[in-house]
Amino acid sequence: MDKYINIGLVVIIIAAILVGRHFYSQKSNTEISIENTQKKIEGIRREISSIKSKVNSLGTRQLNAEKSRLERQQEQLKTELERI
Amino acid sequence: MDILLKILAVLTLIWGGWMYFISSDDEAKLRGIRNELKVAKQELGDARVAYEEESKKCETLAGEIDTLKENAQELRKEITTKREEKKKLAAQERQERLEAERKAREEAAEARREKLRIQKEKEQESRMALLEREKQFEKEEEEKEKAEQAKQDAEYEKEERKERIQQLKRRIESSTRGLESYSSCSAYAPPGKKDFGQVEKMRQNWTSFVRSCIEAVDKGDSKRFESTGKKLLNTAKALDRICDGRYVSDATNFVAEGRKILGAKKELQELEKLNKSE
Repeated sequence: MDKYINIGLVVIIIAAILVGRHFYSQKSNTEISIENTQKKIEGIRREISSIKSKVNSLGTRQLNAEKSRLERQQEQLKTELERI
Repeated sequence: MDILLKILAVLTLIWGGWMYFISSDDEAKLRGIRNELKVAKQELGDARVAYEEESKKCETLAGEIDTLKENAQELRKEITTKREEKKKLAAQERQERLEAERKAREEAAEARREKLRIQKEKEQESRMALLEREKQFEKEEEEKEKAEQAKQDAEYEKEERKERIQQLKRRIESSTRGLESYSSCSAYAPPGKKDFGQVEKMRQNWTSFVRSCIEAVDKGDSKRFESTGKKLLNTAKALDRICDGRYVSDATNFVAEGRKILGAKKELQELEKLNKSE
């Protein structure tokens, strides 16, 4: 009986070791994936900030302001022209 | 040995469980991070789309700004043109206004001058009229005086004429009487001369000539008087040659006296004609 118990214990130990090893390797792979994914995310975030800075550098606000200014100026000019 | 195996089995089981737990935790972490990656990718896509939209918008805005700038430039040009036109128009209007003002001033000055000229003419006319009236008045006064004087002169002349007529009449009468004294001729032929008949004839001739002359004088016939007077003078000359008398002198005096009477008669006739005409 003890013999069988011992064999069962050895089997359990071996199975536990195999399962643990599997999960260990899986954990290692997951960590690598996490690291890679974080790097990707960082790259994407950098790219997004780069795009945002590009968008900012496009100067839409300034262009809008310039457009508004020119529209006002056009209205003033039209008014002056009409006055003249 | 059994106990050791049991402990080892427990330990290996605990380790395996721990590994499972850790691996599951990391899996969950990985899933979260993957979700995060998905979100980031989505954000990246959105950012790209937004960038493209923003770029298009910027291009549109740039185009609009260019259009607005061109419009503004056109408007400025138009304003400048209009201002120049307005300025030209204003200058032209100013010129026209100045011209009109100058014309109005000239017309006003001309009107003033004309008015002044008319006023001067009127004053001159009034002065002239006054002078004319004064002259007329003086002339009338003068004419009145002249008329008065003429009247007085005429009256005076009339009086004088009357006196003169009376005087002439008296003179004619006395002279005629004087002429009568020449009618008798006392000539006679001196002793020793044979011309008695001739003298007598000449004496008769003398008398008849004198009578004829007196008649001519009475009638105022000077022609007859002159011709008869000539004959009388010739007779007187002949008598003087024969009688050594003063008959030429008498005849001359007679003729002169007769001429005077004829002149006086003529004057008297004229004066009487004048009197009649008045």
